[in-house]
Amino acid sequence: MKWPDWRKKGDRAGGKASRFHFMRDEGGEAERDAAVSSGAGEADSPAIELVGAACRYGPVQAVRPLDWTVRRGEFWAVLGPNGSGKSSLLGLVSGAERPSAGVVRLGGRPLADYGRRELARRLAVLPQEGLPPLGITVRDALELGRFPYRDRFGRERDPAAARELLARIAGRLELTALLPRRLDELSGGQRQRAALGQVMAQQPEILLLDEPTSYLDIYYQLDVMELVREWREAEGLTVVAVLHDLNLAAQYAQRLLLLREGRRAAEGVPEAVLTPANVGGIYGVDPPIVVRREEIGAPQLLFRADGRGGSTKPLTDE
Amino acid sequence: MIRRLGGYGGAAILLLLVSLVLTLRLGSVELPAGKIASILLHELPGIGRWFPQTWDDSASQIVLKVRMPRILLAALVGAALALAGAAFQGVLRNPLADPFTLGVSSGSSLGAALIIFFGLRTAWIGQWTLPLTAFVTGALTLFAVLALARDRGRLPVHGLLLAGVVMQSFLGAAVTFLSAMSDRPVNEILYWTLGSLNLRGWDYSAILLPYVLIGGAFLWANAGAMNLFALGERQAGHLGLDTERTKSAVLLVATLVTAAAVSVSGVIGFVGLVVPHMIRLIAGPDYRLLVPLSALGGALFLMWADTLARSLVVGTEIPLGVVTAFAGAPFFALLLQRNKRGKGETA
Repeated sequence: MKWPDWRKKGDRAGGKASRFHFMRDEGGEAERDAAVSSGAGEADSPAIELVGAACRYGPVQAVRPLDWTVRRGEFWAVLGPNGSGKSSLLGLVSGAERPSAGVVRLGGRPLADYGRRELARRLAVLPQEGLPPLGITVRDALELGRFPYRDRFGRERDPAAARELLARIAGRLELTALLPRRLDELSGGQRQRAALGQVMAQQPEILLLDEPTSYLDIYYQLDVMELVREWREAEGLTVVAVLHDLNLAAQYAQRLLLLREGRRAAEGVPEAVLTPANVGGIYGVDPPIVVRREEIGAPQLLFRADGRGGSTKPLTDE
Repeated sequence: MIRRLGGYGGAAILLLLVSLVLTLRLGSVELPAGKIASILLHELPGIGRWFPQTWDDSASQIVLKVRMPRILLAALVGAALALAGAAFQGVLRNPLADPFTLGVSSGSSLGAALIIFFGLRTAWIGQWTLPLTAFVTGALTLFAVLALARDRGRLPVHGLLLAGVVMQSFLGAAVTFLSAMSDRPVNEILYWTLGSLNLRGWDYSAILLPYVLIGGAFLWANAGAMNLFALGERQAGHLGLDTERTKSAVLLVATLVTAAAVSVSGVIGFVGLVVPHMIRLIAGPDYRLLVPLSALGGALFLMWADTLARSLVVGTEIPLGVVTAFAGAPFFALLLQRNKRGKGETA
């Protein structure tokens, strides 16, 4: 399953949902489904599982011992004020941070058991700032995503298939015309698209997003989230996104984890988590107005100007 | 990639061969280029017999015993420094990084200065006393800097740069002190720290060659990893690279190659900093091209710099480090300017 035969892109009639079907073969999906239904093996275990996992930097306890389970194919958003441990939690899951206590498992196996390349074939991280403005071309940037599949001389096992995969990724992300362009000639939004192309080239089962929309205008914010949603729907990708934008989180994530000072403050569907009391209390603002509109399909929050809950939040270690 | 490497690499090798003949010509005795080419080809096994000796022995003595070893050593030292410079810039992601960033030059200088100061140049193993001491003190400096920079099992880049600067100022002061205390008429310490290839025979090249070949092969094999470093260490890790191990190994190898070059030639600045940048402006930022082309470019650059150093002022030698800075800086400025203008047009 690590090396799927990519399906020919014959049918695009399926519209949006089929745009990413090329990434994995049907046989692989069927195999995985079979494994799930028979209730046996690794495929049955959750995509991500934290058992009492904590993250500590010296005296600072960024994430306190936490139990948390993400099932395959779920889309989670991790929310919380600055310094609440969102990024550290993401670091625990990505392997960038070693847990100071407890254990993190991916697909039932402790994260520490994974080799670097093996992990990179399974899990990818879309960074906050997209790709840096380097002098390399978009094509080179996408190729870097193939690193975990290449041998030490940089060779693919099946170069033709890899070329085809990259061409299709570029096509789906509308990057084809930009392939020969240098990253430092692109806009921030285009670079974030190129970064998405790079993580797609990794063909991961789990995608972590680290505040991917921070530096983007509203068009590209929706663009990134929409592309990730389509990818997930097409492939059963598991997504965990650290987000600052509560409204974006409510629209795209099925489940939210709200953190406060390294602890779980709330967890569940957006309607249950994004209540005026939760948001007001945890972020230290006046309780927002929650708006529900049929055409949006998720609760959206409206905040008051100077709604800092009547007091100035004490300055902490930001 | 391979086609571009072939193109640039082929051009560089051609330039190297042409430069070899041209630089061999220059010196106190003028020799025509055709004669030099014949002398060289005569020495090649297999085809040598097609070029019968038509010159007197003194000509081939000058070419093969006097000029050739020095030019070859210049090429090797240049290749070593430029290779190491490209590797440093790659893993430290800092355009100002060069082979001396981690203090190896000041460590080697101190070793050399101590040997010269106490008159021990031939004390122990003859002419090799000084190079060996310089190599060992350079390598020791590297380990001291790594120990200073290491933070909970990691080597943060800012820590490395700071530790390198600290070490350079401290050891540099010691070298300056020894140099100021020296009561010899010619300040050998100063001359050593400015670099020279004078009176180095074939055996110096033989010592340096394995470092350049093995070190170069290792660094080239890690060029793909250096491309990942450009994305930032964190993202490189997420793409499956063991960044800490790669960084330590690359810095270690690049520094040992540098220490080997410094021990035979003294401190020759600017090559390791400027040559990789020149290559980057010509061939782009891909380290799979940058590493091998830097080696070739460094060889070319130092061959000509040393030729200028020994022939520009009749009867004396200009310190090689002075020539590299004089020749390198304006050329670099020109390329930088051209690159800026080129970018302005496309934008």
